[in-house]
Amino acid sequence: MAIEMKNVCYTYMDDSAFSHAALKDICLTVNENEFVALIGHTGSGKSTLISHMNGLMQPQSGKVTVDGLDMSDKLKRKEGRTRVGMVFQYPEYQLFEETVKKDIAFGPHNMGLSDEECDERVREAMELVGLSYEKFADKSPFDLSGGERRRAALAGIIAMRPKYLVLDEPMAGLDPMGRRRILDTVISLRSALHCAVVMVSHSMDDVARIAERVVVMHEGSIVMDGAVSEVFTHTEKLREIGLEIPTAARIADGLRMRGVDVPKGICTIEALSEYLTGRLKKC
Amino acid sequence: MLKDITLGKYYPGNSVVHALDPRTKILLTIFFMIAVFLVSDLWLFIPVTLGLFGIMLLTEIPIKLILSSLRPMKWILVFMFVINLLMIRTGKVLLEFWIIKITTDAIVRAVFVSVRLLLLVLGTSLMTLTTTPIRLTDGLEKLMSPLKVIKFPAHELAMMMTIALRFIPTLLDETDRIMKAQTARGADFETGSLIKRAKAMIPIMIPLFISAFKRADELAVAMDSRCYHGGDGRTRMKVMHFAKRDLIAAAVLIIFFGAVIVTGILL
Amino acid sequence: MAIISVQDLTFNYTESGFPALSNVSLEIEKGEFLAIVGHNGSGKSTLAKHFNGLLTPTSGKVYVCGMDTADENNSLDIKRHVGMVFQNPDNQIVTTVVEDDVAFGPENLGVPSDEIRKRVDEALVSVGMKKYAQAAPHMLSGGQKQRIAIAGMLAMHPDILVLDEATAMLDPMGRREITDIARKLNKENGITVIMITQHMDEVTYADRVVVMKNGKIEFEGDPKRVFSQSARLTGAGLDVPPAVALRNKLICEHALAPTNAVDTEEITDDIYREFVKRGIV
Repeated sequence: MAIEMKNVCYTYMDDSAFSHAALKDICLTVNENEFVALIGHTGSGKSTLISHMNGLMQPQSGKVTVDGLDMSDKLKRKEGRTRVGMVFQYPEYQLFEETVKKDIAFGPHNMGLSDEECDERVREAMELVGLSYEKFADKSPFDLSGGERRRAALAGIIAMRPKYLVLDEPMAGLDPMGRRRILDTVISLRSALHCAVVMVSHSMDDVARIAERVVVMHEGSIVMDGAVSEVFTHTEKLREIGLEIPTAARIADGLRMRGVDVPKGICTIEALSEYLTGRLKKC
Repeated sequence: MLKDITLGKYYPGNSVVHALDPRTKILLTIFFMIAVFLVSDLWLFIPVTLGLFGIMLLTEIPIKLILSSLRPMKWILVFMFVINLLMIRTGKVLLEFWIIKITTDAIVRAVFVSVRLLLLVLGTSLMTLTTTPIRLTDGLEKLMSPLKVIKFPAHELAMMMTIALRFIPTLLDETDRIMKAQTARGADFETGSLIKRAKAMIPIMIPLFISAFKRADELAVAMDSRCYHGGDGRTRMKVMHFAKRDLIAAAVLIIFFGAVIVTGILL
Repeated sequence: MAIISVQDLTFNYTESGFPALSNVSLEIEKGEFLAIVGHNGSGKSTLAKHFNGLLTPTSGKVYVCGMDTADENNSLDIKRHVGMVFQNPDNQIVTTVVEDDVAFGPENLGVPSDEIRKRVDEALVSVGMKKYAQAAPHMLSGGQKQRIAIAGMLAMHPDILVLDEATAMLDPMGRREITDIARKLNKENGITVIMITQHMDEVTYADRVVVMKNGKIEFEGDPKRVFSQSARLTGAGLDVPPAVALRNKLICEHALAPTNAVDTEEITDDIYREFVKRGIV
């Protein structure tokens, strides 16, 4: 079971395509339970790609299936959509109900679940994102702080119990504390829901820390796809397409250039610090 | 999908018509509309149409594209034609069955009304096709500025139009984004009864309104920070000048359509 | 004399509510590059809005170029001296053509047409957007829109540029564009820059960093000093850049001699030196 994209092509017809590039013959499989980070420039096609994952956009050629459900089929798409939870950029702007509780129940409700079931899912989702049910359920979403609103919006997707959770820059615009909270939430969600996570992010340090696999997009194509430690060893290639490199990999690179033999594949601050401490303290 | 809507159908070009001062174009369009309304004889539409066709050629815009501006009007045209055809009952009867009676007068009148509408739409399209919305707004502001004496808010209206034009693409983008987000949560905008569909718009409209108000608020602060304090004492980077070509264009058109009107009155 | 002087400023949004700022005092010197950091709701944006008189103190005083912001008569003059760029790139561009938008400020000030043309061209050149003069703003990237917003301010010939979380919604490339321009304007044109941000890596090259917490100034100092107090930063809901975190960890483990470097390159150098010192390389 997986999200499978086969030879997906998409070209924007209008001239406003500046901010989102086309997709060129994309082949990508997202397996159950894996954590994939999707990185690339603004305009490299990341947003277009994830919009195809739950049938919000249809490929002009090629095929997308979710657990074998063909997303070009209208009925199967509806079923497929409930399996792929989509958290767009700045998701707090989609909140509209009078209370947090009602808003989170919007998704489950559309799935045709009973009121009791919806309520149960709302409770569960709120707990998972770290919003207390007692404190927030009956509040208006518009009375929450920015970070809380973001988590409420996230809960709205979690309540649909997706098998695949797609997040488009979930930390954008938050302060360091808010960023850390969302990141921790994503990590805990994954183990609680046993879902796969696809996360679009510009923060390479975060990606290095929490993802297992990295897919690099450039001008509408996938140019690299592999384990985190593998992708971030190709620092030259990443620099070439103008992407940042995790700070740890940058420092390791710098040390290597100065003649210290730091092994390849270290890309988190934790790993680097452990390695350096070990080497430096031996003497 | 929302991006397909074309707004402000300006067609870039370097023709004489493009280069005219927006004020000239607005005034001449008004003059043209008056002329079309004053013409009371179907045959006089021939010189008017020819004149309009001449201007179309001058704009260097493909004729097909200009004519396509009529497309949204087609049902109104058909409606006007049919109404006139059925309502006028004077003249020689050509066809009669059940309650329908078609007369010669009705046909002449129906054609006349349709052609008049066609000419009006084409005439105004020529103005919007050759002038950017922002130039039109500037032109309108300038033309209406004498009315400030009677407290008419010419500058404020123009500023509102400018801001509206600026934010239409932004808000369309936003609508698209919110629609996608709600669709991903299982919202359905395409099936069900009319009431159900109207209800389905709530999850789009509320976030859209909230964001629009937030934008308005932030824009007001930004404008304030940029020393905006209304139209008083404001200068413009691009000053409008009437050039020789404006005089010539005005003279030619006024004489041409004026002659048509006078002929119409004399006949 | 300080170009901006904040004296015992307290500000309440509502009469009964908790003050957004309480007893803040701050002197900003001409030509300084000042960074103000703080968690959401720490009052940093509220403080920024006092720098051009968008907000006026509930109690206390704010002087900009010697003018009292509470005096209505100074309002326009102060706004001319202080250029403000805000967070959302979409909500500060007024017109549909880039160059017309840059002209908006000077037009409001009643600058003669030829002079506006000159200022607009200069401003667009200095933010590197000359070739987009005729473009429609909604077709530009976030970073480009913010550059236009900066150009719009420069065309008013301000002495001070305030970037109020202007990089918060941008991608890394856009952020770099904006910080590079801010640094250039500070160094080459002598414009006083006040940068309000949540991204700690953007403050490493500021002359001075002010850390805000719950409406008060928690502490301040040059970046080296501020980043050496990571516990205090964490306490204020902030963090240190990853390279500094690594440095601190190594120092803590006695694997690195104490250093106050904050730049990634400098830290790499320090670690390398440690390798040399310990005779490993």
